[in-house]
Amino acid sequence: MIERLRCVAPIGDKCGEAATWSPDEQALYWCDVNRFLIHRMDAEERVSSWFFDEPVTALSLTEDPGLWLVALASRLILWRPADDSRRDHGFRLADWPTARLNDGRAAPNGDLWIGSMSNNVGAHGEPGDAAFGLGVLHRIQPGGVVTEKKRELGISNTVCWSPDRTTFYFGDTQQNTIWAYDYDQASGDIANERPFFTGFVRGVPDGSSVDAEGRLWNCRFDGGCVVCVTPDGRIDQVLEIPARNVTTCAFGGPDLGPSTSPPRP
Amino acid sequence: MMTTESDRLAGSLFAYDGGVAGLDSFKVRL
Repeated sequence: MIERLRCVAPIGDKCGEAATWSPDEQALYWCDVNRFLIHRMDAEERVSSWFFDEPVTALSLTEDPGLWLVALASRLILWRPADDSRRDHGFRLADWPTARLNDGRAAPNGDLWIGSMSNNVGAHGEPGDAAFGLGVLHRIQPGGVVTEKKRELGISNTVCWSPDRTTFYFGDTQQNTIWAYDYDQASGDIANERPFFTGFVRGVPDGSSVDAEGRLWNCRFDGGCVVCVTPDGRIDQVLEIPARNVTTCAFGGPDLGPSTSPPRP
Repeated sequence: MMTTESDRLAGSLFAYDGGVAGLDSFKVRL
């Protein structure tokens, strides 16, 4: 079914991120980092919102239906929207509040991979500048084992896997680079880092999703588009978005697409 | 109604269905 590109939730997000489709609920969840919100939109395009005590930066389904893993700036929590119950997961970012968590997703084997960055959000959500070098890519396994997989990053963005689950993609906004890695599903580890998509002139890389053909769709912050990159690193197409800061995308219902944030001052 | 290039590109993005949504639906083990 071919649908026109249209805005389905003009709700004034400062920095919409973490678009995540729930197949069970047939609903799209996403967050607003600077307003400390999680939103949910159902098939009738009704939006519900929840307020949290810190910036919300990433979301993931869990093996427990209806229970979400939520990345706040300083820590992970488990959240059940049905009754709004919340409890700590146990992981806390050691470098908080100098640094904060950012983009993350569940791996094919059930680990959580999540990056961090310089904390550019004030106590009341005020935007600030992000220094380079404080970002770390974490692998968090069930039971709480945490491994730092990459350090000295700017802004961790793009955490996704190829359809055959053999390639992991991870990016740094400030280095305008997305790397590819070999992903071993048995061990859950990565190896053989190589640049995958770097130096594209339209904006900088924010979040991404991979489609069934293995193409990576990368949202371009300050670039007004989503660029589709084939598995061998060639640009397949550029999807123009009527917003300057395109931040996150997910595949879901026929009308559910990228979210955006307003231009930086 | 004329189909524009942006319509075509948007269609190519949004035409994907559940099989693809599954890529975004890996679940964290607790």
